Amino acid sequence: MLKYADIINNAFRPLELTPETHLEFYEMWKEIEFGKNEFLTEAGKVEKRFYLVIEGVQVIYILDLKGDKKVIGFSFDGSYSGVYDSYLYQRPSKYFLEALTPSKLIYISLEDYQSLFDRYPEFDRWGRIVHQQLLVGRVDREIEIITLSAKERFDAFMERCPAPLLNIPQKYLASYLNMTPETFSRMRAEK
Amino acid sequence: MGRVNISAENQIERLNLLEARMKKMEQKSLQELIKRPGEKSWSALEAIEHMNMGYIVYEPKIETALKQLSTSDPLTESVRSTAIPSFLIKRFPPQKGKIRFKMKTMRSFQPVLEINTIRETELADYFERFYRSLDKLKEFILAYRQTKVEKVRFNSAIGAIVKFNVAEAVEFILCHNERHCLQAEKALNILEG
Repeated sequence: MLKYADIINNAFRPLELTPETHLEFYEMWKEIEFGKNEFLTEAGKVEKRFYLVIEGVQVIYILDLKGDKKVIGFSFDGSYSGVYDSYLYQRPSKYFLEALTPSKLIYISLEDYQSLFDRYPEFDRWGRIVHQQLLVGRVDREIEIITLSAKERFDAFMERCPAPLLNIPQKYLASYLNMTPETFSRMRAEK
Repeated sequence: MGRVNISAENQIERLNLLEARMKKMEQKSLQELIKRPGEKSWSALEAIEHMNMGYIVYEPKIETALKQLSTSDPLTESVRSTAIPSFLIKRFPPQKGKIRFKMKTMRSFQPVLEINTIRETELADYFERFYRSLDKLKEFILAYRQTKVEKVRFNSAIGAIVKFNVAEAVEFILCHNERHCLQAEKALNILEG
């Protein structure tokens, strides 16, 4: 998958990957496409893939007891995607991962993913950094949800909102910010 | 009587759960699968066959209805079931591991199996038909999600007294399966989940 070498290299920073030193790694990736509103992963199924997004927006959500969607996060151009806990532990997913726009991704199987750490010891460093970032990111989000008002959550999110998310249906962003679509819409109009 | 809110994603999650439960039952021996827990009770295999029989009645009705529906955008994510289908649907799913509202099975849905003559090699067919029904139901959900599903209604298996749209029919089949899956698990002495 050398045609996506730039995206792969960027996702695996600070490692310095080159086709000369890591050809086998680039060749582990396979390309896949999903239509708008197609599921990448369904709740109750086991995640088979760890993705990098080439283009498109995907949403990850869980259903509450009433069957309503509660958005956990998004993936978009250049970011990782997949249901990571289900992938790592090969247990049924609690979440749905759905393409909100036509999406093109590349993915790596669990077997290949795990072999990386034996084959290339430097991936341990990437693993440490990415897991630190994930942990800190989730704690920051939890603090925002617990301590900030709806308006403060909206402002904080809009300040850092990646461009691809600005065009998805507002109800997903509203759910992510734990507010009603009406509240989100009003705040957006006032902005 | 409250009306049932139907969500396509919730139905898919429950279909996947039913599949996982059935995979566990598939591990059981022929003897266990055909064992009736009581004189008038069904064995697990009879419960599975009853689910297969219940599904197959609806398959052509749903396929015909879907052909009459045109695709729409945005997706139908939630359907509020009407009063009579809601009444019927709500009676079926078990709650807290218990089957509620005991009901008599219509003669045409009675599984007629000579359970003592069933051979090991024939077992796969019962499970395969069940898995096929789950695949088809998922196909129906993904299709109706792209339509204004409320626009086409058809007679339920008990006749014109209850009419379903596709979302309601799938919900009814799912609730019916959840009920009889629990019955089969109880016959096998395995816990739900």
